[in-house]
Amino acid sequence: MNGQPTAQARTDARIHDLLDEATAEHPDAAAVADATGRWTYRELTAWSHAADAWLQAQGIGHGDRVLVQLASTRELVALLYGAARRGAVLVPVNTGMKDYHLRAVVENSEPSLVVVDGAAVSRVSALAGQVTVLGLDEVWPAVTDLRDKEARGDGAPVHADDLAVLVYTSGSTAAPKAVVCPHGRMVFATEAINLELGYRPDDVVFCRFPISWDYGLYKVLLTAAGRSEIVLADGESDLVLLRRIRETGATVVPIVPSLATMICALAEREPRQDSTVRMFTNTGAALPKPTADGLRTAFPGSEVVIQFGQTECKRVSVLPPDQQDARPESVGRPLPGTRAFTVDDDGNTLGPWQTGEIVVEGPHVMPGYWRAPEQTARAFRPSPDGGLRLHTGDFGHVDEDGYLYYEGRRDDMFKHKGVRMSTTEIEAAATDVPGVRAAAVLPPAPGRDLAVFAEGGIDPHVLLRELSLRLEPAKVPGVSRVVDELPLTAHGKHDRKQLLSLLEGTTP
Amino acid sequence: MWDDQFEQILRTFLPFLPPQEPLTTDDELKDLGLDSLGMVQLLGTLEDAYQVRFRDSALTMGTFRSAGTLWETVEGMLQRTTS
Repeated sequence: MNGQPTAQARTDARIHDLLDEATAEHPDAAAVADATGRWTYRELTAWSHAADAWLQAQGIGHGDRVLVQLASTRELVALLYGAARRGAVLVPVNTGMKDYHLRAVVENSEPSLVVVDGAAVSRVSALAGQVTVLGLDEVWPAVTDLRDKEARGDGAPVHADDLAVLVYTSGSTAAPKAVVCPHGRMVFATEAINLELGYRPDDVVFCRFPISWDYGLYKVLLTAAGRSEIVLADGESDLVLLRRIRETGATVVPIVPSLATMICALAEREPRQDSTVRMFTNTGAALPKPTADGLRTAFPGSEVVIQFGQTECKRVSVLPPDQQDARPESVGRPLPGTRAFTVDDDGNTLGPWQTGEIVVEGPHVMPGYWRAPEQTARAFRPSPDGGLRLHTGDFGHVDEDGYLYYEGRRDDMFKHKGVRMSTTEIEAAATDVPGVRAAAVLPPAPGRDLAVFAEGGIDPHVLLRELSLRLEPAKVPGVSRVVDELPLTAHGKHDRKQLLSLLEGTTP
Repeated sequence: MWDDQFEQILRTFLPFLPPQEPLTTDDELKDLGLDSLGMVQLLGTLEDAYQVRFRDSALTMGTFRSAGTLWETVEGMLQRTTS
């Protein structure tokens, strides 16, 4: 309905089919590079077979979860595809995940095996109970051995409906929640996105994001679908970001607004007229226009593609660059082969320009949350014409041509530095800090950083430091205020209007 | 020891450090709230303030580890420009 590409994404393929097809077409093309080297598609395929054989030797079978807390390197990509071949379910978690959160993820996902950095083995073993925890430094020599023997797994069947990955995301409660991602839906989402983005064999995709985040994870799959090369740059110093983008000859750079700001700051310091970058792709939050302009100036000839989505369906929409002038506020059109529109509180479809909840239908909608039937039933509801309808919790409208416009949320969820989080979890962490009696959090808004307000006897800077010990970096507020008493509404809730005026009326 | 300007600039990038608390030579700047974006902005601010330019080899996490390591780098550049 939107004049979209006519080609179709598949629903019946496995994620390792993407790799095998790329290898069949371009065996000697570069597939994946990290700080220490590079593999061709042929090499990555061989490593993934060795990883499969190694997992089999560890007794890992169909449906078993393999939790990995590893830096985003070539080894992790091999384990991703190796687990896929095995029919096992990879559970990638962020290397920055704190122990109390990790313990909850281990309990929730019940892995058969955990692989971490060698230095983390004893720490993670202590919280993983009976589960075997291995260090990559002992795992990899064994995989290398199998690679030298050109070993393969037994080739037990893996179907498109089988789970490939569990992606943990923030929920509105403190407990971790994973989106279940079957092979077929991941491949569909990947191919549908690529119909819009058009990754090509000559593309070098510079990925600053970890594979534990679905943004990074899908870049691995997208580069295989495009027969492109991925450069894994997570974990490198951001001070050399610009130099690395230039050195690697990157043509595509996925960004979130804060990363774009950094790239612009570095480019101002070291301007250059020539650039290999043809496309920046943004997600996570709205990209301010000055930042988008800054990127286009610093990288002449590049364009900025706006995207919108959530892990539950990977991506909702993409705004092609040729539509940006006509629809500057839009977050794009639904992926080809999918639908996205708005509904009222009773689930009735709304017309153009009518504000309602954004819902999504199509083969990219994942089947739900891992072992969380209530939350699943709330977000993934039966669609009138069969299949699932994802209730995103995002509110907005569509225009006459079906382009989406995001307006905001009506719950306590929001995104900061590209990461989804809730005021509830930050408030919970703040009240856990000794000396804090009560806490309230204001989500960020244009011109305003994420802010925490605490009632109690604590220094505002110390509060932030304490929060940084309890939360991932992206969830630590930029502004901290300690007040005698938190303002409440007549209903006893945090009075966000008064908090806002507190923020505007005081100096740091 | 560093000059006042350095401390003043650095403190604006350390949200976890209360104003009344001393900035020590060895405290990890990361633990005081210096994040990636802050690091990149701090780099530009120091270069402008001291009219110096960090060499590529100085653009490491090590340089920005503590106030001490960072000042050492800045001071080294100042000496090169004055000598």
